[in-house]
Amino acid sequence: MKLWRYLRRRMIFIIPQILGVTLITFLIVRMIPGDPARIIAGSLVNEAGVELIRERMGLTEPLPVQLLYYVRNIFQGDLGRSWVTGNPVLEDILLRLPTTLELIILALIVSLAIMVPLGIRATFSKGGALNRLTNKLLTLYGMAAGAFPDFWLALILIFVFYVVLGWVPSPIGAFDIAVVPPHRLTGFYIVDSLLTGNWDALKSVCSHLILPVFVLAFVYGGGILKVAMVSANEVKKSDYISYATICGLPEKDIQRYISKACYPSVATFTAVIFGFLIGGAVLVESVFSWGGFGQYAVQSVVNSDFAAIQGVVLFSAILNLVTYIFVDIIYYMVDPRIKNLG
Amino acid sequence: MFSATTSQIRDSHLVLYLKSHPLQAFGFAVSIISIVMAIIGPYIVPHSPTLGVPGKHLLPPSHEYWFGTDVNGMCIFSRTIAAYRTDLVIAVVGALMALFIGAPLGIIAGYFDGKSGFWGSVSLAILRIMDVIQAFPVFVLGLLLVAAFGPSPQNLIFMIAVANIPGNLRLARSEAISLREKDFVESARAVGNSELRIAFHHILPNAITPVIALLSVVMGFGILLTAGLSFVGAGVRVPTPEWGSMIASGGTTMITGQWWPSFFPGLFMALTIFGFSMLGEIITVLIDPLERIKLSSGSDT
Repeated sequence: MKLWRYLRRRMIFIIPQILGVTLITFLIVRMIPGDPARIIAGSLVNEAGVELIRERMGLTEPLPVQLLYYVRNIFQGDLGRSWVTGNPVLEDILLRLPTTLELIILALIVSLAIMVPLGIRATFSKGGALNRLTNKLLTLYGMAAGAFPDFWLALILIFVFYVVLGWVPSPIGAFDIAVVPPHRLTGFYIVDSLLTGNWDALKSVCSHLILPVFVLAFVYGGGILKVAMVSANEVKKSDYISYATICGLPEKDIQRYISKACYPSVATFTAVIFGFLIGGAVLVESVFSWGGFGQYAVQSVVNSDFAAIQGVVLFSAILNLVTYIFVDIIYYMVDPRIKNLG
Repeated sequence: MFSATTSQIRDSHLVLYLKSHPLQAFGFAVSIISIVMAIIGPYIVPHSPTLGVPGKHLLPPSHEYWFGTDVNGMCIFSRTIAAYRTDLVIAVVGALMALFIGAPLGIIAGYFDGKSGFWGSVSLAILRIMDVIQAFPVFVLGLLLVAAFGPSPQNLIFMIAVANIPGNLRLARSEAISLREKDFVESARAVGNSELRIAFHHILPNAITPVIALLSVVMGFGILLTAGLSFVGAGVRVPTPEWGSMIASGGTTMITGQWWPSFFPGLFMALTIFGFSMLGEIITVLIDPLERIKLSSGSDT
C-alpha cells in the first residue's frame, strides 16, 4: 500500500531521532549529581557494599560500554528499576500513562469540538451588532487564553466552584473516597468504569474530571481557535472557494470544503499541544493530585530517581514522535496531494 | 532624525496602529510597565519582598498589605512587584540566548541547505540536532535539564534557551532559504564575497526581523516555563520572589479559603504574558512594509 511506503520514508527520519534522544538522555542523566548506587544502598551500607552495587549496576564500566548495555536493555523492554516505588520503570510508566492521556485527550476533544466549528463559522459571520460582538470576543479569547497559567486558573476555579459554591467534589484524585475504583482493565478510568459497569465510579470520575478538563480545554483551546480562524480565512481567499461561491454552491457545502482544508493545520497544532501536555499536564495534575505520568516525572526529578528520570524522558520523547507520525497519517488521509506523490 | 517632533510621534506608524487597535494598545502599555517594574520594582515596594513578619501570616488584603500576606508573613504585593525582575530577567536572557545562538545557526543551515561540501554537511548536522531537541516534550526537557544542573536562575535561563533554539533556528533558516535566490545575493557573489560573508553580511540582516518579532513570544513562553517549573518545585525557590513559586505556596491555602496568596501573582503573570504576546503582534505588523503603507494611507487593516 502507498501509505506504508509513505510511512517507511518517514521512519528514516524517526530512527536517528530516537537514537539521538537516547544518547542525549543517557549523557544528561549521567550528569545528575549524586551517586545512584549510594542512594539505592542507603546510608547504612558500607563502602564495599556500595562498590558491589555499583558493579552490579554496571557503573564501573567505561561510559560507552554502559551506553551499549543501556540500549540493549531498552530493546528488551527493560528501563531499569525505580528506587522510590521499587517497581520496574516501564511498569510504573504504563500504570500512570492512561490517567494522564485520559485527561489530555478529553480536554483536546472538548476544545476541538467547540473551537474548530466556531473558528470556521466566524469567518462566515455577516454584519450585525451581535455577530460583530461575538467575533470580537472570539478574537479576544484566541489571543488571551494562552496567557493564563493553567495551574493558576485551576486553583482559582477550585476556589470558586469547590470552596465557595461547592458544585464540584473535592479536587483530590479521580474518585471520591467512599467510591470503590473500577477494576483495572485499560487504566482509563472512564473506560474501566463503563466496562465493569461500575456506575458510581463513572459518576465520580466524571465529576472529578470537569474542572481539570475545562482548564486544559480553555487554556489550550485559544490557540486551536486562532489556528482554525487563520487557516479558514486563508482558505476562503483561495481560488477554488471563490469559484465555488461564484457557481452558487450553498454556503453549507462551502463551509464543508473550508473545514476540510483546515484540518491539516489544526491537526499539526493539536499534535504540538499534545506533545507539550505529555509533560506539561503535570501542572494541572499536581493541582488536582491526579497521580499521572507528569507527577511521576516530577517526583523522579525531586527524588533523583535516575532510572525513572531516564525512562520518563525517553518514553515521552518517543510518544511525542509517535504523535507526529499519527499526524502524518492524518495529513495523508486528508490531503490528496500527498497521496499522489507516490 | 534623532529628535522626533510631537507631530512625528503623533503620525508614527506605531501610534496610528495602537489608536485603531485598543487590545494591542493595552498590551503595549502592559509590556512597557512590566519592563519598568523589572528595573525599579524591588526599590519601590512598601515591604521587604523576602522577609516575613512573624505572627502576620495569611492576613487578607488590607490597607497596610494591599494583597494580603502569605503563609510566611511576607507581603504579597511587594513580592508580586519584585517578582517582575526575577521572571523577566530569566525569560529575557533565555530568549536572547535562543536568538543569538539560533539565528546565526539558522542562517548557516538555510544558506547552505542542500549544498555539498563542508558547510553543506554542517547545515545537515544542525538540522538533525534540532530534530533531536524537538523530539523532547518541552516541559520534560526542562525537568531533565533542571535535574541535571540544579534549580538555579542561570540553569532556568539555559533551559529556556535550549528549548527555544530550534524555533528561532527554523524561522531564520526558512528566511535564508527564500533570500538566497535573490538578485542582491548573486551580485554580492559576483563582486567576490566569500560564501560565509554573504551568509552573515548580506543574508543575516535581511532575515533577522521576523526572528526578532518572535522574541517577545518566546519571552512570554519563558515566563510560563519558569513559573511552571517553580510551581512543581523544580525552579526558583522561596524566598526569592517569583510568580510560579508564589502561586504554589498559595495553592495549599486556596482550599481553606485564602485565595489571595495565589490570585495576585497569577493575575500579574497572565497580564505580563498577554502584554508580550501583543507586543509580538505589534512588531510583526509594523515590520511589514505593506502594513505600514496601509496605516499611513489611513485604511483599516
